Amino acid sequence: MGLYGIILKEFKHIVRDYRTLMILFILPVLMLVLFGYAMTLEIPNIRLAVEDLDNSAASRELIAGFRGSEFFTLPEAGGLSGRELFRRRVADALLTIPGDYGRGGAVDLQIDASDSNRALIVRQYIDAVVERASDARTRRPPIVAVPAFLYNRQLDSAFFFVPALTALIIIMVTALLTSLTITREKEQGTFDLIKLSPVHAYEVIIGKVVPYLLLSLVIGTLIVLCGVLMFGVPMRGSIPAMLFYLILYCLTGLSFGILISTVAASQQTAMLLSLIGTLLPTLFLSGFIFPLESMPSLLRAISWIVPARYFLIIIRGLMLKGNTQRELIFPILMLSAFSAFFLLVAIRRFKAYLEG
Amino acid sequence: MRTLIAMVKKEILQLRADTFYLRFLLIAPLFQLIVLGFALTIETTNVPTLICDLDRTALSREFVRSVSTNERFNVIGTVEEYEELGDALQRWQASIGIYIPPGFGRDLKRDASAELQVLIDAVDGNKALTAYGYLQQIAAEQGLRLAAVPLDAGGAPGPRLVYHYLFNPELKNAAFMVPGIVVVIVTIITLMIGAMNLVREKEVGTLEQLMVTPINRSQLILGKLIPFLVYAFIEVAVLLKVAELVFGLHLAGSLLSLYLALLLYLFSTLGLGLLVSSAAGTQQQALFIAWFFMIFMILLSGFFIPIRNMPRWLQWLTMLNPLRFMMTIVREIYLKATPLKLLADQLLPLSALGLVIFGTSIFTFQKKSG
Repeated sequence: MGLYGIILKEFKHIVRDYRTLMILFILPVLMLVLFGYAMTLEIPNIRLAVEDLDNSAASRELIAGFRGSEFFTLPEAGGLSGRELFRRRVADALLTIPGDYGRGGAVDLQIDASDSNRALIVRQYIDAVVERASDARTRRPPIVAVPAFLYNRQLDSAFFFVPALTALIIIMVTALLTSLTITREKEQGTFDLIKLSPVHAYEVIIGKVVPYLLLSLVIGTLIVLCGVLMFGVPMRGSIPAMLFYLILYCLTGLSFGILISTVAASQQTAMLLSLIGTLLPTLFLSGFIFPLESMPSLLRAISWIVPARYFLIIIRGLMLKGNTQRELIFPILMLSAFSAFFLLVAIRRFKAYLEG
Repeated sequence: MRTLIAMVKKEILQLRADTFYLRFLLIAPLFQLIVLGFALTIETTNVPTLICDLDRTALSREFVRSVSTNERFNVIGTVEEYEELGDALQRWQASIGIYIPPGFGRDLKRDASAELQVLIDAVDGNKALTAYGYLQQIAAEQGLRLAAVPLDAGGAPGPRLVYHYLFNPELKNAAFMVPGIVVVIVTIITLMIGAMNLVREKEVGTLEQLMVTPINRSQLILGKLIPFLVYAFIEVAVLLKVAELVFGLHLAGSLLSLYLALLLYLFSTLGLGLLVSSAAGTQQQALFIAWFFMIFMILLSGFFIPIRNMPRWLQWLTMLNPLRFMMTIVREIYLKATPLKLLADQLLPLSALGLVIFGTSIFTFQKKSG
């Protein structure tokens, strides 16, 4: 049973388990669709309760500014204190206009800050309305910064998230796929036969990766296609290059999975390792949502060993910026290095297992 | 009762046998908690910025200096030509390019009005907008200063605002994430690990052995589920303690209410775990199905993405998600000390879902193994 035999055997295994196969095709697409629609960081709906103790032309004008904005809905404060409003989840912020507002009294703003990120955004939106209400700033400022938004002129959040989701889904699916294969056979004892037959460790490892590579390439392509067709994400780079990078990235995920498989003693451990090793770093330390440059330096340092970080640059670069091979050479090299490293360690560990 | 206790003991022994696994279950959530608490901020700072100053006057240099001393921007260098700004953005070296055209200083001095251009990498639209906002602010302030326009020129002063941030006055991001992580961890342990554990017995064939022993099915199920329930409760206590030590956060509400709500929630997750284990034949299948549920539960719970931001049809879909209600409850209790009676609108659907899911799972389990 050489390399070819192992590939064939593994392939039959995959095809026979149609339940898993179905999940494998449906799940990623569903994830992309739901995530794609759900993920938007714009805050269109701030519930602002207003208490107007002044009730003058000036205060009504300020309130009209909020009513006129599409970002605010104004529920009645009904004489409840801010704390009470927030506890009852009626308002995100309470604006109190004092009786001496016309004579320069300060407006009091209470914001529910349990979600600090949201609180900051809420503040920004309120600031903007208040600023507009003030005459002083309508004058043209001495320095005008003329912006040119490149690569995503409409600031469409799908352009940002859909490629990133592709990176997340692929690494999770691929790592999960292979992480259980060797562990399962270890648990079930089917390797005892292989131990007796003259087969090399690398043949087993490569033989297990190749069929899954085909499978995950199909899944990856499907997800990218969905992104382009459903969310209108552009594809400014070359399509053959995209396929090549997909293969490379799938290989990284699969080799990470197979490495886990040689390390883990039980399928449960393998599952946990692959989930935690892919999902969390990709979500938080790859630039998926949270900008890397804003993080503390320790976390930024850790992000260097997160493969998705490099694929994110590749896929966003290719789809949105139309980057060429030359511009992406560093992330490509990094992904190749990861794959090679994972595979080599997996082979060594598996060899030790076969001989042990 | 004695059979049940014996069963629980056996399960705990089995869990403890795999020490690596056990340690992992404890350490991974802690790690997650700490990273999340520190990393998760959409605040925009240190934006890599490249500058092309073709004006080279004292005024333009002064403007550049005010950008580089601002913590929002990290000026990585200067270039001699406008084209180089675009190249740097294309090659991911900078996210913002500031171009100061010749004549900038002269215009500013003569007309108190000058223009500069900002190239912004808008792949991350949110970051792009925020960074541009900060830049505008600098431009407005510096413009007034550099052009020597009196600050209060023209018009009356606008309204003044005084801010109060309630429940989280220091705007700690961790305060919001920690309670969320706690329920996510509980979900993982009870749904995912629970499902895998049951299927393992099925795969190895020990479930059939258990079936023929004089233990009834409800004891079998309870014996299986109780250890996970206990484990989840301990993990919650540990996580809350760690949040206190690392982030200085405290549970504002009552611990009892929190545990009560968690207990209600566990009917849903343990039930789902049981359902998955009935449906799956192998651990791999169980893993994928459980994973499927988990992703959707977490995604549609409001953990990262506020539900009110989602399209209407998706908001309706979240009503089927027990984690959505639990997420609200745990945050309300943890941060705002909301009493349970104000949370009735969350607790009722949570209980209803738990009842339906757990009932179905028991029914399915009986039928499958009966």
